[in-house]
Amino acid sequence: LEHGVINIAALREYHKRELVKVLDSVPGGKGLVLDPKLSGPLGLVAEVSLLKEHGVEKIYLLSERLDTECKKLIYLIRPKLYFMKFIADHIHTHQRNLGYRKEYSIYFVPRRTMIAERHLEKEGVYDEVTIGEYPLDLIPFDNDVLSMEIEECYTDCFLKGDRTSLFYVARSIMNLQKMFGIIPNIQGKGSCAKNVVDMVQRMQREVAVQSASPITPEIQNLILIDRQVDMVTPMCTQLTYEGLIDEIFGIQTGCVELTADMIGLDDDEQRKLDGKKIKKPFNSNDGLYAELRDANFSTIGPALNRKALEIDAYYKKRHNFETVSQMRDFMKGLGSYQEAHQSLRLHTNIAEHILKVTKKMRFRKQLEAEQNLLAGNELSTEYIEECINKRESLVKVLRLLILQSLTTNGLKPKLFEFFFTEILSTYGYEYLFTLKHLEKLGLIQSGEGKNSFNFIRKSLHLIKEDVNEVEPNDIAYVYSGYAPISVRLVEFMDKWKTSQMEEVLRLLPGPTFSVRQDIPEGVLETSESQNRVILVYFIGGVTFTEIAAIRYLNQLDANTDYIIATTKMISGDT
Amino acid sequence: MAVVEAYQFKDIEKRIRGLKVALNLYKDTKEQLATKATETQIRLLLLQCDLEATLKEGEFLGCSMSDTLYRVIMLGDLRRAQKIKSEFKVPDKRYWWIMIKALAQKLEWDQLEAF
Repeated sequence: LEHGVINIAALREYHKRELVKVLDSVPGGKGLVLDPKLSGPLGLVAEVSLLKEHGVEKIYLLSERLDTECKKLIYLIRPKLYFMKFIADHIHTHQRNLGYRKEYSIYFVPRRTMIAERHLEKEGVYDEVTIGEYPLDLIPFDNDVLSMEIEECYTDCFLKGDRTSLFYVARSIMNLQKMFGIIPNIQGKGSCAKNVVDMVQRMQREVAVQSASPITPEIQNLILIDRQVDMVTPMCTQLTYEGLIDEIFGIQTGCVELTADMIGLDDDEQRKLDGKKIKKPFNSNDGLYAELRDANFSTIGPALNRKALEIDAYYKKRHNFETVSQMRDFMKGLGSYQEAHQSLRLHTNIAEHILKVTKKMRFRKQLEAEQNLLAGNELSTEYIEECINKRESLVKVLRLLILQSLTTNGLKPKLFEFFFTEILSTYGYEYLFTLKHLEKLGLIQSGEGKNSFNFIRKSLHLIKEDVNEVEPNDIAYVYSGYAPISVRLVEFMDKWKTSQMEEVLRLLPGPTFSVRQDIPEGVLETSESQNRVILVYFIGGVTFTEIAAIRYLNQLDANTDYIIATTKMISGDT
Repeated sequence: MAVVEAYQFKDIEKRIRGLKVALNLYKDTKEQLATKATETQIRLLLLQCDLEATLKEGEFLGCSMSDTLYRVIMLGDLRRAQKIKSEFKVPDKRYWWIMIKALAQKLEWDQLEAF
């Protein structure tokens, strides 16, 4: 963040230092074996050159087989049990084929687990390996976004009741407090959020006994929100530029995989790639993208056009130079304009592709159905039935059904039964589990009774008829008229104690709480010149649109800065 | 859980037996919808065995209800499709969709018009 909010780069530096420690623990040249799911996040922490500097000769992605010449291996993995089997197999195969064993180290991310170690024992390789931890938790994605990239958090917590990832969340908050001072005000909504805050307080007490670090708090407020509190939002189609890129192409750890013609390479280069996809980073380093990402997609066309004219005008300038210094100025700017030109080409291609999709009847009808459901207009039951009959993707059908169930307080039992059988007989009996899980999560339910969503909608002003997409006048611009519940809660955070908000919060799932943490004596609570910094932590994932909405809040109030943390970036498909 | 187990069997007889175990479990826990779905699935598997045996072409096992119908229509056996429809109480709307899709795929426009 340019206003000099907290120094997020320090966090990256910390992760980098820890990584170097891991690498240096095995002296000399070595091979690095990565959890495939970790290579993206690690790329955000350190460059390949750094790995090379510290003796990494080759990098492998962990799979069943590993043929390597490296004599020393470091595994950097999440403690998943089937990985233990892979590693044991590697060790046994090397033993058999080479007649000797290599030197093996396993570093668990973010921490070792008893059960993983037991598995290594069972495979008979526990004594062969050196075990360590690499406490990678919140990874800076952008100047204002941190993510842990733990995939299973939502299912683990809400479906299986496994609270391991909550422990990670609590620890990541502790880590932030160590670097940026104790956060005096914490409030939150949801059972997982409550769990986390309890853990944080307990850990804080333990730390306090050891040493109190006298740092002036750089973050004043922490808001913890369970994904479970607002499942409506992720089910809606994201309508910001970045959101649509995610819906259509999929964004993975800040990167998008694109075909060569999207990027606009020339034919030679295209042939070399042979239809393979290229990973392109999408973040605020690309000036144009930083401008466009959070805008409603309907404004992207004109914006791209404006940019094109601007670049064109700049290039044209070279025809009417009069002095040498004019020419020098031109050359100075040329580099950045050429960069902008390239990025413009990329984004024009992408925007065109998205436009093709959004122009289709299918997309429009889906959007219409969503907006009707949100506004509480007529039910789109028939439309959903049609989707099933046309055998549209099951995910799409389920997203709509979930939306309908959530906005009407459960489907009427008869309707529920109807969809239940229709889905099973069209897509197959196997999806019985999927439906059962969704029912358990309360996402698709059968029920009758008063519709509380109406009340929530009214109190939180979720539907804005007169939203301006070009010059946003409300966070609802991100969904062209619907304001995400989660972000409304953040927006109204200071009003949680008012009676109307209390009523709303009562209707949303999970407990509501607010606690104050004591800061060490003699430390100022805030330095005067400083803005209020609010950290919003989404447990179970956040969508790009919600981030856009929070960034909008950020612009609105010059005295407040928001930072977003989450367990994972998500969309309705995940 | 029993369903997962049942699906591990490639052998169809064993799979049906497994599903029957699941069926009883669902009955015990009074999961009406799941009970019904499992009953239907057992009947469907039996039907698919029968189809494979009598039609001598096409694979049916493991298909969903709608896909089974679609394949029967694709093979041209409209009478049998009609019979399956009433046996499994397939709603008209869905039946027409399947029919239209299959006939269009086969380019049998006369039949399509005959609706």
